[in-house]
Amino acid sequence: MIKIKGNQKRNIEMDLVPLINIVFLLLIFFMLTSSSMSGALQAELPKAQSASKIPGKNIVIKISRAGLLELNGTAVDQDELQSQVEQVLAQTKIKAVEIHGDKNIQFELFGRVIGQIRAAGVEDFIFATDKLEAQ
Amino acid sequence: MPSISMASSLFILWTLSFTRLLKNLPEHHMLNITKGNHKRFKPDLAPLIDVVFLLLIFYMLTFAIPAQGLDVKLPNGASSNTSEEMPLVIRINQADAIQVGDQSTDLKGLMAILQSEITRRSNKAVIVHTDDKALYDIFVQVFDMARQAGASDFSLVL
Repeated sequence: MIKIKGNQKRNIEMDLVPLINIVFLLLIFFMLTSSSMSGALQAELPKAQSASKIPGKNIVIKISRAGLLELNGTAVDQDELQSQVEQVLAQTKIKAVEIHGDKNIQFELFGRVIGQIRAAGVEDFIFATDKLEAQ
Repeated sequence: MPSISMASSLFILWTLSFTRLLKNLPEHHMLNITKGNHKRFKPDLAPLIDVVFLLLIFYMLTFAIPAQGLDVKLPNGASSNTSEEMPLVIRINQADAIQVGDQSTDLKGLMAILQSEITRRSNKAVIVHTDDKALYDIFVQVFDMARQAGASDFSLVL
């Protein structure tokens, strides 16, 4: 592959293929991990003890600390939330809505979001939480 | 998920190309241990790193940590009160003081009071009034404790 001939008659042969392999892997690694974090918003979830694993696929609504909303990964306005949820309900058979709300939001915002989702016809809610260690 | 199928197909392609390790080509020496002229042991370091890394990515993507949450049904119609007993009313105000029935408390004493109130009643329904300015965090913790104490039907006053 690459030969460097020194005075001591030693050949340093370097394998390019494994190096390319590692670079390729790193590339794929970052591609996949960045695309699997859906959406741009992060929310710090409140902690709860009686939480159970969320079953199946649901409509995911994120409420960030600043009050920005995301429906299944895409940003929505508070006014359009109800119509967007109705659209998703009409297109898929999903019945339940997961709400990932940041723990520092005011209840007023949360109440409005819930009100709109209920107006769209959803009755099954799941409040996403982190695990709270028992004291 | 498309990324999982991509990862698994890449994994399969890669293991097929892994056969070059078995061929023990003489040009491959990242690490070269020579004892005498007879047997040369030449482990390839880079493909080993590749395998480990790829396995790591593969299992990371296939076994993603599932999220957990509290599930609740909030029906739209007015819930019929089947028992004669009024549901327990919990009020959360903006200073995060919580009133259970007619007792006031804070988060620390809340669990004990909730447990005593809910086990006392036959009607496990709970109505939660929350002030607009209260934190969502407090609401979820109250909700969590009420569930742990045995409350079943929740109504939220928005």
